[in-house]
Amino acid sequence: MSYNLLVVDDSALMRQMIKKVISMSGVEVGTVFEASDGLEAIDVLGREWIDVVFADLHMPRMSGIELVERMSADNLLATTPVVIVSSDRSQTQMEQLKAKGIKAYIEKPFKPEQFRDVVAGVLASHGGGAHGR
Amino acid sequence: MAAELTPALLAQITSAVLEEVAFVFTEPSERPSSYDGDWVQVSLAFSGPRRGRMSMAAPRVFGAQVASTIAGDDGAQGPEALERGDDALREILNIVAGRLLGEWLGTEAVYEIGIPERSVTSAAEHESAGLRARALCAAALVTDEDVPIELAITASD
Repeated sequence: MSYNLLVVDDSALMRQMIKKVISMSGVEVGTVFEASDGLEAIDVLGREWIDVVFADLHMPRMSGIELVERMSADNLLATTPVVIVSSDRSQTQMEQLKAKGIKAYIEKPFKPEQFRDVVAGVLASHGGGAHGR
Repeated sequence: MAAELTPALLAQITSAVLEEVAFVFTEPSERPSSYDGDWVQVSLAFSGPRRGRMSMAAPRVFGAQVASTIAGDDGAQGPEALERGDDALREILNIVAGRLLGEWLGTEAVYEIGIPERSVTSAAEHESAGLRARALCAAALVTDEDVPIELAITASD
């Protein structure tokens, strides 16, 4: 089973790095979509099946937090798991984000095995997969 | 548990991030920075228990080298390479800020990190701007290839 992923980060270089790490992680990936902020992410989510969203917190136009809030309020998107990929280390803020519905948090800089473990955990609890769609 | 903000802490965290992200090895430097080409300065605002700005300046070509290492390729060429390098240094600063604020303010604190901005200056402009002159905390590093990197934190409260 392969999974469609969406990487949301305002840095093209960071999106490239995340895609590379995902490809090294052993996760069976279908298509990796990209968005440079929350608004673009909402657009992609509206037209593509996405199994997991990886989102930065700090982005112009629509931040990662606003993206999570927007998805939580949408019946079709509320169940799509969101993993925050950020350099923030505030545990209090992470607890607040979990309360808003994020499934996991990966701290930058990251290693392929972190992505593998987080994606495996998220998908195990969520199911899904783009294979055969 | 919050740590005291010191130049040593700033230098140590920046050095660790550069090594982990871009395999760049650095050490603290006491010498004045001397580089005649264009510099890029990236900076971001932070707020929470303390408010201010964190800035990092380095030769612009250094950013392009860092970007190539991060991307794992031979690098873009020309203006595209420099733009990608600026992007890389913005990300490096973002990671340094996250780690430093966690140490300085403590992980129980809630703080906001702004989106990194950049400006490109000539060597003369960089020198006259005096990045470290009015800083609450400042540090300088030099890479194993003798590239200077300057860091400064200014407080607005």
